[in-house]
Amino acid sequence: MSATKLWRPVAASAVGLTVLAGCASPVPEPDPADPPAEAQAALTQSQEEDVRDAIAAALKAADEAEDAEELKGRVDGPALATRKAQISVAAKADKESLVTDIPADVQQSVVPAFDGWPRTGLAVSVEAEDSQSPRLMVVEQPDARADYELWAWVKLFPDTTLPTFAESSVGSPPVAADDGDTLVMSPDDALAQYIDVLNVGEDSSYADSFDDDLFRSLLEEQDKVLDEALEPADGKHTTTFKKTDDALRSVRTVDGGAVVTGAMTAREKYTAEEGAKIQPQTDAEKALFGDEDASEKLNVDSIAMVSLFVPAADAEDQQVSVLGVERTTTKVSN
Amino acid sequence: MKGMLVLQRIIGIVLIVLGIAGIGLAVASATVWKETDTVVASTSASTVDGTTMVVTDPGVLELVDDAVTISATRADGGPVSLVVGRDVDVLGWVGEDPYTRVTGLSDWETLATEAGSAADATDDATAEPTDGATEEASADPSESPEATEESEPAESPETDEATDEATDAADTEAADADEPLVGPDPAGSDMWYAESSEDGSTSMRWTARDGRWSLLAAGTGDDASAPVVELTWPRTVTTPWLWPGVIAGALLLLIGAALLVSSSVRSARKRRTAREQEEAAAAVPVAAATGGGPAPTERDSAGPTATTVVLTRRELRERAAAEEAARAAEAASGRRRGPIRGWLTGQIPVVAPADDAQSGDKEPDGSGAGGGTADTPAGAGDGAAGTSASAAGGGSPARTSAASGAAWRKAWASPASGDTAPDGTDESGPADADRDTSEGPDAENGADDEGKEQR
Repeated sequence: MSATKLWRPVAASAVGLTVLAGCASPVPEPDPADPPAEAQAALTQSQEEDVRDAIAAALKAADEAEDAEELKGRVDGPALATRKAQISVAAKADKESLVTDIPADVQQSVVPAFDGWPRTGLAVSVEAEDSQSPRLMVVEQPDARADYELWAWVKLFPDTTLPTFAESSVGSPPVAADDGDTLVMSPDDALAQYIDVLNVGEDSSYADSFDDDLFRSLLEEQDKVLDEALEPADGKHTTTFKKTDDALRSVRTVDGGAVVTGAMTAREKYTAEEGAKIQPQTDAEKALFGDEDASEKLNVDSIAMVSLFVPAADAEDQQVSVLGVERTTTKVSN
Repeated sequence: MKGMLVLQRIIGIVLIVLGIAGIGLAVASATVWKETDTVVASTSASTVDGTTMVVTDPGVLELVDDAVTISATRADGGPVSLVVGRDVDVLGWVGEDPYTRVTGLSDWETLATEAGSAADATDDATAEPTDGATEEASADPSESPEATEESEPAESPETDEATDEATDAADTEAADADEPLVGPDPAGSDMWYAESSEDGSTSMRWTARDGRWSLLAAGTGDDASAPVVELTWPRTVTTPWLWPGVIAGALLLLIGAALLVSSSVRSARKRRTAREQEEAAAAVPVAAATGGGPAPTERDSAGPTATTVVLTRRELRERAAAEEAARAAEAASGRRRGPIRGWLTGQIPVVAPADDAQSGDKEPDGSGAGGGTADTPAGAGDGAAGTSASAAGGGSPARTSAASGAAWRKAWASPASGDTAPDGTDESGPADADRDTSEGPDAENGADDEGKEQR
């Protein structure tokens, strides 16, 4: 063994000890996951449940207190206007059934997938009281510092088949109100045309774009009945729907279509020959009309929320279908 | 050869020392120097002015470990809220308000902070959040070149930016700087995955999950200030140096020990052979005394054959004992013989010469009783013995020869040449020596001496 060979392990161990002595570990750098290519579901299932619970609690509190103030922060938009009217009418009529039952339990949740605001989701409730049809609820977070609110709801038609939404863990993106490229028509157009169809009926140039729906047929039936009833007094009944200022809320479905929910106001005008007295018909109208003296005129204002399914531009069935409607009388005057 | 052994021994010792040191360091690295099993990092007390909110970048919460304990404290004891949410949600919630952004760790105890860009957050709100993030990321590196070019004014761009932002914020949020800040409270939003709110200080735990997560800590209420955020992670403290260090140290120790042992064995062997050689050399006279006469010559001529005469220890011991005994005996007899030796040396010039002895032999000895004819051969024999015999043992033959010589001389009445003196000295004690030597010159008288002897 030569001298240099002997020194080799010495040198090696010296190096090792030096390394050992100076083993100050460096500070780690943040290594976050890459930003997802697409916006993720904005709420987890439990968060979504919390949101629903909070909304249900607000609705319940307002119902019990007969005070729409309780809705603040959790109910907004046409839903708030509708609920306010319902609570007030129910209080006046002393009839709880005038307040739409909105079950807290849902059979399906459609979670928004959007990083901006407002964020819009949907929920389909279980069957409501007295075997009423399920409600389709529109839930929205208007801005980052606001809570999710119930923005609108409709009573689904019994024969409605809902389109398929993305899994709640994936989330459903919103659809721009003027997006006419990916859909057979833009959400704005869809509602406007539907209103035209409601107002004009079969004569509307858009009538063919819409599938028959229960709401429209009910209105037609009602018109017929009322016209017949008013005929002896040379009376007339008209219903005029108008779009509200509220923007639409649209959520993309799996097949590329969109569920578009909007609000409209309706004014029913009853007119009859002079001297005739037109009495309000429904409990709500009566409650709202109160002790007013009936006259040959009666105006009934209502607010209606409607959900439409607008198919994708390349869909086989190009007709827009109506999923459900919730209409509430807000004012009766003569 | 000897130098190598020394070097080997030094290296052995060094290796042993290094080995022990290595084991010691390894053990220390796993005990005394073992890192704490938590990492605690906090924002400095002076966060960016004019902010009530502290936001961590995605990845900061899980910087050290998946599990983090978050605490936020306000020195003034005001209400504090902690929330964790997706980064897009947190930035969206913060919106246009200025905030302090935590970008990571500046060291193991300090969270790196900078002014959060409100513009990015607002852009994010409607546009793709990733764009904002990349803009932000690309904007940040542009600062660093300046910082590296000029080390001293490195902070000024940052502070400028901060003040710019502060003024921007002040512009947007009407006279922000002058009026006390009202801290918005993020707590209670549907978006958060975890939240905690308390007065003064609050804390919560967070476990990492997939995705990008940000912490928002906010001082809330009137006259709010940004809280100091402290993140505590457990750290799985490994002791990577323990076993390698111990094993390496043990190896060094073993190698060193082996070197030491081998060197000492070799040196011991060498020493033993050297000693044996020495001992063998020392044993020569003894061997000669015991009769090993020819051995010395053999050994002198060929060293290596030393091994062939390796003695057992017992033999060595016995030999040593014998030597000792011989030495003791010599010392004892030397005390008595010393003067004799002195006398002998004095005697040598007189006795030793062979010619004198032979001539002396022919001298007639008055005291000798031997036959005249028989004396001559005896005298010749004595003379021969006298030349070969050592000084120590030649006493009595010389005397007999001298006696026979004297008898022979007396019988033949040959003139004495002074050889009678030795005869006299033979019989007398040491005291006579002086007299004899002094008598030497008198011996030339011959007749007187002979007469005296006869008497």
